[in-house]
Amino acid sequence: MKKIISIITLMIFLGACVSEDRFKEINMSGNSITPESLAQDLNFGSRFPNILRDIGFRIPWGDAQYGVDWGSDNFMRHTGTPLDEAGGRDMMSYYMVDYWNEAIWNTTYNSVMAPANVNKIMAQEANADLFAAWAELFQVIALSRATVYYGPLIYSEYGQPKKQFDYDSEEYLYEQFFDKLDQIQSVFQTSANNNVQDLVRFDASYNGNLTKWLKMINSLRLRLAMRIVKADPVLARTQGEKAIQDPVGLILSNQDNFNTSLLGGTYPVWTMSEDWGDCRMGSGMEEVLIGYEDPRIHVFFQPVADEDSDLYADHPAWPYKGIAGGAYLNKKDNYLPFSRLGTYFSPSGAGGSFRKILTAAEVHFILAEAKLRGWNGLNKTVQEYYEDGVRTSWEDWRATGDVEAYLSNDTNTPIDYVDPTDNRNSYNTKISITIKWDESAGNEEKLERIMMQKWIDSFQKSNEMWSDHRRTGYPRLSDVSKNDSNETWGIIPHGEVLKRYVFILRERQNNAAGIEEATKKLGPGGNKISTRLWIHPDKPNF
Amino acid sequence: MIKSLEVGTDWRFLEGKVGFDFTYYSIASTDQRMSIPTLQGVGFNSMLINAGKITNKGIELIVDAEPVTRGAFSWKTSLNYAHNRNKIVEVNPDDKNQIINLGSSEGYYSRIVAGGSFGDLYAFNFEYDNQGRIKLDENKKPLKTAEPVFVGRIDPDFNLGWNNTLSYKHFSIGFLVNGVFGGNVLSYTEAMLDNYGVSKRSADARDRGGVEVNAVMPDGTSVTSVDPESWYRAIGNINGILGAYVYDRTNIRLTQFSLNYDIPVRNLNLPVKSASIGLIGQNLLFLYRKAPYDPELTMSAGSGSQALDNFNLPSTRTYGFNIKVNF
Repeated sequence: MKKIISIITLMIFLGACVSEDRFKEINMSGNSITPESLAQDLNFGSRFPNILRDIGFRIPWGDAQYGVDWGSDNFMRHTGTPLDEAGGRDMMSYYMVDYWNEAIWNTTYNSVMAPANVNKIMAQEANADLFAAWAELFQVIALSRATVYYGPLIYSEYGQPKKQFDYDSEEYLYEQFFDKLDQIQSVFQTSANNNVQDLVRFDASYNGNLTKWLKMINSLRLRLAMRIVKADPVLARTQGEKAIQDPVGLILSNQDNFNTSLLGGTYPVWTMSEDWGDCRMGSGMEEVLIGYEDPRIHVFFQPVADEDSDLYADHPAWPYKGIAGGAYLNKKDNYLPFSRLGTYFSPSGAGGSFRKILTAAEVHFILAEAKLRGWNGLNKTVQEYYEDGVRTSWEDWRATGDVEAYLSNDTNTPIDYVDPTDNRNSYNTKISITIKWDESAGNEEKLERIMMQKWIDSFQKSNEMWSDHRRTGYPRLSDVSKNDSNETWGIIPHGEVLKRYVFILRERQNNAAGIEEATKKLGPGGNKISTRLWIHPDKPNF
Repeated sequence: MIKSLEVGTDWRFLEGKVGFDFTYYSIASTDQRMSIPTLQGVGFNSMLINAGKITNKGIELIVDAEPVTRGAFSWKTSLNYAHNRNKIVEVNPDDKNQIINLGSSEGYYSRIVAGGSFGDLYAFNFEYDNQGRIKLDENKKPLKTAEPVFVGRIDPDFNLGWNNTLSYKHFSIGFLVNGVFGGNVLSYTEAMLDNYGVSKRSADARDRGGVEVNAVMPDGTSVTSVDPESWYRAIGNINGILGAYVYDRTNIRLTQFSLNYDIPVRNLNLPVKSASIGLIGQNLLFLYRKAPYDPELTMSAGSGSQALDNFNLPSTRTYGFNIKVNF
């Protein structure tokens, strides 16, 4: 018996003896990723897809709602909200609310800047220039979208172990954006020349196609150049012409559009519209699309149900109804039957799996304005860019109808808006511009026509249009029904719009000295919602 | 690291009929591991540091006595008093102004700030002019402060508990009274009820035709009454002025009341050693309360939402009936 026990003990002991490699393997937690398995993805590659996704303002209860749907989309009158618990005061009626105010900042810095910074450092350590440049491109995309909210941002000092952070003025931000784009472009160009395929597995936007990324970089440069055209016309033109004349070219066809994948997530505004009843059509869309008999309305929105036909009695042939901006909202239920977001954005719809960021239609409208301003390197006429912009937009949005007939329509104009549940929100349209190009018109009218179509196309990507609207004054959008701005954060006079978001609470508290300096960079208006950005000076368009 | 000092003394007098127990303590917690949000420019979202100094000093006092024992009647009573003072001496030596948010929710902030105490309440409040009048905007809606301001401390000044047992022959009655004095709580529930105009407060204001305020318009005109809907939507809203919904935590309640009867079984020749029946009620009623709801309701929640009432379930009153039989 003793013998048997000894043998068994020996066997157990021998059985426990394994080689060193095996030993490590056995003792490894099944839940953690080994450095080796990360190395297969270049250690940092697998972190890129989420950052790229987060550029798209995609969090339904965060940036996508507080920052965009209840921010720029609402200011642009693209969407409206039935939400009545906010019926008191909120950002949509120009009343500062900190957790709304900071939503875009949080995504920009926490979801893009910080992880991209870590990726950049890891990529640099591994001499992976393309990945480092890609991370820096993400930062430029994110910051260039956030600056249209806040103006000055932390960029040149970003990533340094400091106790106080100074904000860069907008002027300096754009200078850095352009410099950074130069560097990024050169790395991408070299990699493209060498046919580098490294991004393929991590790039849900372009599947690693570097030529498309180069077109995106040119288009982003063009967008930023036009943004500063009133603030610094010389730099705007230099950078704009550089983008236009680059041999790789711009995003001019919808196949090259820059979209960010939701990586399987539901389109955030769809969730807001269908699940929460927080989002409906905006009154501006009703005003313009019905006035123009524009078929994109069927893509953007769902018609109102037949049993609620009294809601659209003012235009029975067009069963759509929107909500005004900064509206008086006494009861959410009153507004729930209004037009929901289009099924195009549903999980099974053609546009439900990604967010549009920079598309061919937008580039065409920028080129139309560039040509109007006399920039060089453009071989089509303003009219051709304008009309191609509309055609490209129709194609991108899968609108069904006769686009040529639409482009030759010189009679339709936007309609007045009626709120059937509360007439305090009804108003007469301020827009009288028609669709058909008029070469004999003055520059202002031409610009207004371009902006009108750019505005329609910018649905669900209103970030740039919000800046264009503050820059040019077009389209002539309706005023807020209710203006709750006050002296604490700046008074917006009747007929004017909110100019910017203020620096966020956490920064005001933890980086007070930095904020004090940043406030000086905003000029005499200070850190208020009524202070114009540097890119939106109060001077004539031409 | 935690340094703790405790001194206590326990006295008994009159053949143990009166007792006195006193404890003083002083606890200092230093260099706690904390995750603090980094400055936004650092390139990381948060970092771990060893820092902070928090002190807790307090006294506990228990007096118990049997003041009456006369024949079949006896009365036992005990009173206890507890006082704790929590102080944040230092948060982060590298940054004197470091604020740690334990939790925040749409205008409510529970914070650790040097010089304050753990979980101090911060919220947006009214703006006042130099005559103490609430500043209004053009639409007669109150302005709110640009930044959240200190609106209250969670910890009470002291707690009192008073426990009594009275017995006469086979009957006994017990009751426990608890009191909390000082401290603050904050209620979203009250705010939202006002916002929707379904609180009694807003109904009363509608009946009176206005909310009485001591306020001032931007042009300097005094205002004494404002439209209830416009007012309550402005302050009661989730984006409202939560400083208006901070309440005093002080309350005194009858925590427990019991009535017991010992059934005299000894002489019944039953195989039963003892038996009793009793009635017991818990959380029975408030003898005094300042807040419009039970302010102790939220005190056990996580550290981020201490003192915040956000549509919490109301506290419950319980009644029990006991039968005890020992064999």
